Amino acid sequence: MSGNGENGNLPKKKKGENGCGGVVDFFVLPEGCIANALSLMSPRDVCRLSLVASIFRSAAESDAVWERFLPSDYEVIVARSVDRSALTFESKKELYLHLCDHPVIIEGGTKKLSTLRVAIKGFHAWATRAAGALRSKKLRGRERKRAIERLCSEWVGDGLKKSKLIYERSNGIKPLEVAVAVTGRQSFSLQKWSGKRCYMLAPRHLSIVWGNTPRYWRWTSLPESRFSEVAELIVVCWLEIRGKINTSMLYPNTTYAAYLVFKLTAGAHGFEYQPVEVSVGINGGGGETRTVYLDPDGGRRQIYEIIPRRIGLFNHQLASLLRQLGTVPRENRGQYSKLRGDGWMEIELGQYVNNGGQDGELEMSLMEVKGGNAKGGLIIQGLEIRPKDG
Amino acid sequence: MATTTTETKMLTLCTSDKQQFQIEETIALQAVTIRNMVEDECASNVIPLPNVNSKIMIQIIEYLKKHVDSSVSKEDMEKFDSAFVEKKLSEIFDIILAANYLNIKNLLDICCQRVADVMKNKSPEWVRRTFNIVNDFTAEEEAKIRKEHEWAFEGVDED
Repeated sequence: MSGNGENGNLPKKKKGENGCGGVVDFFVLPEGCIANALSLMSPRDVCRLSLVASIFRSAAESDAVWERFLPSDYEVIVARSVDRSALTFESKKELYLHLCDHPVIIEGGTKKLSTLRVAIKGFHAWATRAAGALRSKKLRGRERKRAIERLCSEWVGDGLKKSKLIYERSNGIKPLEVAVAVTGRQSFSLQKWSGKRCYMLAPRHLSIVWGNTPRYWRWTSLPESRFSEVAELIVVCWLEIRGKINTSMLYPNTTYAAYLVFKLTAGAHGFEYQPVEVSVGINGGGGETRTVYLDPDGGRRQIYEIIPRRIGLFNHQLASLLRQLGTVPRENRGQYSKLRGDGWMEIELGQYVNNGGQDGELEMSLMEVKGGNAKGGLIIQGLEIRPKDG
Repeated sequence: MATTTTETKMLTLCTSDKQQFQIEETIALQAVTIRNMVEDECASNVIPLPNVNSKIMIQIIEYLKKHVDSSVSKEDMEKFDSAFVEKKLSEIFDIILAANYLNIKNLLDICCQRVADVMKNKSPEWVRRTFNIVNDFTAEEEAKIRKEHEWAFEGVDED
């Protein structure tokens, strides 16, 4: 029914007269059409093909092309970002590249915000009751107003204080969830070659067991972190870190991988031989648990354990000791952490194929509760979710 | 191709090589340019299309006829589309030009997609060679562009 193109040379178009002997004459196409074709490729293709000729270059620079690569809700994202002033650009390409290299810090997800709204509703209920109590005290006029203001100012404190108060006065909403809603942040950036979005959940956006106990975890700031706060593990035996992201924020038909982005301090301990368990699953199920090593040398030392001829006496003894403790997963040596371009380390927690149909929460976790030894010196920048390379 | 049912309103399109095509109005109106002409009533009996020749017009009418048929399932339509663009690139370019002029968005998109699929993952040199495109950059300009987009030159198909 189609494809009747057996005849060699078609009648030449009026304009494209440069008969360079070839079958195809690209220059008959207006720049807009070249731009249209480019926008159907990847950002990487577009940048590379801008080298073909000047007409390609000017098409490859056009806003029409780059608008297609920006997320459809980029205006909302930019509007929600904390530092909006930095986001004024002359071209869409410039904005695109900026979003790749400079993660934008945005407010917590809508889910968390709705939690906050519920919490505030709880607060209103409490305030109404408090007002009733005030009435019974027969305070009137200005005095009464001042008493209410005093009560309300208790509520308007910093995030954690606020959340604690909301918690006490609401119907059982967990303080952590409210804290996330109030202080939680995440960052958003684009994967340069694909244009797909990458997210990083701030440590405050994660649920860290013992995270609010200063003896175990410290909240501090590092200039090299994109977030204002990082979580530093002082010491725990029970290490448990969980994060969640709504799948509606992910691209359909794309394989994502989640990574813990961290550093080990000079005094880090407890991760050399001790693997940690990681998993990624949707709606509390389906995730396979794997073991990985946070210490990049930890994994390698395990290799020696597997290859008998290369075992030194020290390693041998240690390995057998560890085997007795039952902490060495012998057939599954897991993976090692990798150094990132930004100087941080990352370890893959698992992968998730987003088929698009499923709407739910993607849950990611990292745990070490089996070995039970004391661990410390882990600094967490956040949990990154990005399309799998390749 | 001209049906002469009394109820259906017909339009006559006249191509650059003075060929006349009589087609149902509903089919022709999918082209926004034709629709605008009809709505503005600047079209009398015959609509002149000086930027489209008859060879291309036949193919465009084939496409429009299929796409006006609401009984065709989405899958079949996709099948039709992918078979439709299985043409020589020179022909695809001519259809792109015509679709651009007639403002038929879907047709333009599937043809541009065909061009995009050919160039995807290819090196600039390959594209120049394949499409006979003269490199009009100076060596300095070329080096500058390459340096700016160094990251984009990884993972290219072999020429």
